[in-house]
Amino acid sequence: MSQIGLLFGIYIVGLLFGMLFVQRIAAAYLVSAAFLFGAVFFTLYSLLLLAFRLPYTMTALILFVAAGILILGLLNLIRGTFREITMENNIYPWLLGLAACVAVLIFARNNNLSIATSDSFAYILNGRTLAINGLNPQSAGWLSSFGVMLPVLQASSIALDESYLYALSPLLGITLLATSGVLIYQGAQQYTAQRYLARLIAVVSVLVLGSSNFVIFHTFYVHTNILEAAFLVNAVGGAWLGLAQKKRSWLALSLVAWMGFSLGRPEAPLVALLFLMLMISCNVFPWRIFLALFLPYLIVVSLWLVLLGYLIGSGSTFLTPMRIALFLLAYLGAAVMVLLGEVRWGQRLLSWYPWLLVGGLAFSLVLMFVTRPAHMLESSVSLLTNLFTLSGRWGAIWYGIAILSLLALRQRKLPNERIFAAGIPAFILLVLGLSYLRIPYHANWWDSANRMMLHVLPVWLVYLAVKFYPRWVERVQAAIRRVDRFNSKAGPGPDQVLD
Amino acid sequence: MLKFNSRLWRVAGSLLLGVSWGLAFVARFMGFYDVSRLQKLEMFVVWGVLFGLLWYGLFGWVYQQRAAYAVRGLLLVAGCSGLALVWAGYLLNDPFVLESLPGGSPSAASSILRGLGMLAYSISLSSVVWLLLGSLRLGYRTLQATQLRLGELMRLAFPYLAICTAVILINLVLYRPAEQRDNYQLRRLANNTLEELIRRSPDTTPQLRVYLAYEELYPGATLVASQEGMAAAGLDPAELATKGSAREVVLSAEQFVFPASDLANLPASREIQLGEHDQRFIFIQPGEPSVDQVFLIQIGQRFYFVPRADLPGGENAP
Repeated sequence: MSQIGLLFGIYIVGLLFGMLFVQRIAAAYLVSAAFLFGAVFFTLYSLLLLAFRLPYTMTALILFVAAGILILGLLNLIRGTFREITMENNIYPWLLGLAACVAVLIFARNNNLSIATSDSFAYILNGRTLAINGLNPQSAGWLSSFGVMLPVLQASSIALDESYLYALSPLLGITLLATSGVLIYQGAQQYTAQRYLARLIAVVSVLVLGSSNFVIFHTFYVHTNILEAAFLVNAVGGAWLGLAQKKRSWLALSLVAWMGFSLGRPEAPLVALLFLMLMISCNVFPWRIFLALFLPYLIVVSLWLVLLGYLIGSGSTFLTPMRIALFLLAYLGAAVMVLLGEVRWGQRLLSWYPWLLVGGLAFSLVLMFVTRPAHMLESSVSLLTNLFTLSGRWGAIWYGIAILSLLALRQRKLPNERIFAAGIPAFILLVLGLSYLRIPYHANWWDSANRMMLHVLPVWLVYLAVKFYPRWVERVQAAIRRVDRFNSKAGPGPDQVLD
Repeated sequence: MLKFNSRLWRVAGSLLLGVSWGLAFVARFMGFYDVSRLQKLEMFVVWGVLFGLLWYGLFGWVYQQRAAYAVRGLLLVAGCSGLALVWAGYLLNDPFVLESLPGGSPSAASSILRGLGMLAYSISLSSVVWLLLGSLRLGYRTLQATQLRLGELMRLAFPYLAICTAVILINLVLYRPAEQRDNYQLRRLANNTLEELIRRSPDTTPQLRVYLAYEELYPGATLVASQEGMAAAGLDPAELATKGSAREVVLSAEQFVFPASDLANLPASREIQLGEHDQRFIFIQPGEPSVDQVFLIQIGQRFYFVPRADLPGGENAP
């Protein structure tokens, strides 16, 4: 098996997992996010192998693909989901997804545009080391500072007898663009079934994302950023759709994406926690449902942190036993927070949570500025310089985001908007706050903060693209009512016009 | 007679076309003659299944549109475009096409294979073109029917669309040329080895090239750079830091650099037990490639410089 075969196998496993939701979630989304689901399962499987010192060989990789296809295929058979996908109904997104996946893999194989920096080699080499030595205190220390998913995926290159996974980043890049587009389309469809404009908006928004040189660069750069961006937009977008449409399936898929996001980088569980608490604070589902959905995520991430804590002993650069304990405590807090929605004072507290979150982070940042003004000022100026000048390599994208964000202030409120409206500022404040613990950010594209902005950019774009919709639809409906009122001829009603 | 829409017809047709098109793609695009049997089989299965599925879908689509009508069109387009394809390949000196034509050079078996592949390839390609044209026509009709409904929404969405379009154009027209001059522009790699990736990556060339041959000799080695080690190797960590290459440098007061004369005490490289967490290896190449290359080897808290020639495979290797 080559890496093309493995990545395709991971995609198929993700696809079969997605198929389980075909009755409730649009096939286009399941098809475009399939690689992310497969990658999460592959990471968990690999971690099990490495933790128990089982041989990480070609046989193990083939076993993953074969067992994944068999188990998920059987589950699909039992649930009768294959019957949903027939020639006359719903087959084309699946065929298109398969073809697109193969096309991207073949393109990457024939046009290896990979680019690497010292970080990239660290990810590749430590991944390869992991495949040989398994999880030990040294590798655990490193993983706790750099994240686990990319090294684990790169570790498979040893079993595949290849140098590194050059096709991984392109696949993630395309996944990011495709899922962002589908999420925008799905979000817009909540307000109107008018498909053409929703498609146009989705395509234009994806082109905005894809035209930025920094995004193109990351599609071939061996690093965690494109991976984290893909997982975050699916996690946040899926969560918002789940809450807005009151669909548990969206939430379940979102939590798989949160799992992948949390395993991607060391600071990611913290970001995930902020967003998860925002989800809980919306208080849409009864606590039993929330808890049942959250528990697998909480258990997996907590187990990983406990395993890291056990292996690294006194601690690593980023994680110490104390910090791990704090993380676990915060996760426990999130689980308890679910119960708050059941009591009146808890509901009030939950409604204040976005303000508490953003306010708390802003206040912390003010304190940081007071205690280390030069340090924090340098970080802030560097971040802004990177976003709005050539040094960050973004192009004009942040100017566009800034203008659209200003225009969005006049738009109608979206349901459960706090996930975006509080989540995005909280993310940025957190990124700035993290500089307090390290050397200041600097004005160069490879700066951590600049790269981390890639994580939140697709989320922001999805938010803005959907944000304008309610007012557009409202105006069109008003215009139609006016026409109906004054026109004696029978014209199409609002429902017909917007169908 | 078998009905066109029968499942058997669809499955058999899909299987046949999937296999032949899979074969054609493998032969045409994936260096069929240069890879191992296992890879051939793998490529064949992946492509065969994929195109089989695509064909299955295509048959369904054709059935939904009026079958007989569609098949006639399909065959007509297939024949014409197949001929056009061969002719274009001939004009463009495509070796794949040239060798498949009478008088070409390959063996009889591969010629038949290529011929079959060409046929399936041209039929399939032309049917995709046909499918695309059909979709465009359908799309145009739908657009005509919904023009009035779209107009109103388009007018309202204009600011959003205009801003997005401006961003796209600025990115592509103004920023793209500036990026072309950047050191970190994308370059196509000739092969997929780590060595080439290291060689072509601006961040690691020529200041710091980590891990070249050693990882191949000793898989499991981990990399770390020491500031002292870099300085001793003639590299200026401060300069590297400004270029962003020294971010991986691990600073430790307990690191010692031994002169090359102490290397006699170093255990033979092949005897070093790898997999231990306190053993790390790094390769530093100072200056231009013409400068002597050295390995910096860390064992525990000690660092050793080893001339490349002394390493396994080098000129002075034990």
